[in-house]
Amino acid sequence: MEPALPFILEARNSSDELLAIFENAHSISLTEELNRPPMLDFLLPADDDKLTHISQANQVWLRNYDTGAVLYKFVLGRRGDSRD
Amino acid sequence: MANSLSFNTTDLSDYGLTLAHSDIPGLTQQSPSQLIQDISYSFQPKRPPKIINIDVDVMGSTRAILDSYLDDIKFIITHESAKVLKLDHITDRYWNTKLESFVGYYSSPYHWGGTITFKADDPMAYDNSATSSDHAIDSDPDTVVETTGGTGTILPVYTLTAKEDLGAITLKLENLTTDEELQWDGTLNTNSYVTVDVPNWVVSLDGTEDMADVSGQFPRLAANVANSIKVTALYSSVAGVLNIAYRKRYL
Repeated sequence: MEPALPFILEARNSSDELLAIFENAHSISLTEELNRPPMLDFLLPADDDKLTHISQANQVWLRNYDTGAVLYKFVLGRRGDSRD
Repeated sequence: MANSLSFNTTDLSDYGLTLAHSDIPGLTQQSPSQLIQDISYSFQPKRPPKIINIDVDVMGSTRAILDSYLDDIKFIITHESAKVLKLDHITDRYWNTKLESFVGYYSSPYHWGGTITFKADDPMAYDNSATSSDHAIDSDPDTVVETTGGTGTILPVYTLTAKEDLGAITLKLENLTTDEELQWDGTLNTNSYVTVDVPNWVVSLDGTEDMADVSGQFPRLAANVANSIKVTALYSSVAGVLNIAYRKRYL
């Protein structure tokens, strides 16, 4: 059976404890450049309860859901609102 | 059978609405691919929302009553979040939908004919009947069988209840059929329960979110087969209980 998602984003606190999984994250984009840290961009619905976990104090981990491998760990760089 | 529809549990036949024709689209999948030389790499398919068009007639014994019915219908079917749409002639399933449009015209002072369009962002239909199965877990590990129906992968809610003090454990819940296993580390006392909410990807202990020591994959149920569910560490000497609650889904 195909995995539910190829990759998942996890909110983790500063002690690396799992807080939530952003199952509604979409438009996920990973940018890797030479001599720069990787950048992760993604969107969440405004009414997602798990938005509270997006904060400077927490981390976001990018994990291969199929293998369980953690690909990258991120801290918050910018958070914005997009309204139509 | 009123030959009408209900939205958010309100039967619209009470407002003079009858269904003339419904158009529920079949199944579509979008599977973008990236061409590299002479081969394309395909991404995981996505299912776009389902647009449901329903032609309706609304009848009132006077123009004032008809206008009142139309006001009521517009009020009932307008919500910011998705609500349950059921059609009288489809008796086994429903969709979670939002209103897209409500357009039509008066053909007489007593009749309004038009089309209501709903959008199901989740294109799956859900069974009207919820399923809830209890399984005794009386060995460690224990494997139970949950035979499902429907045609779409099911996102269940598992509740694992300890009937004895198990202490600090690593609880494992695995669907051998789909090869998805979730682990949770924690302490379970008598009547403590762990809930694995697959639709929302949340694990809780006694009703309170407890994600700190969760790893693995949230086990879905394959449709229309016997799913073998393996539970580890829920039993020492008194049988625990695994409850699996879900609705069958249809493509």
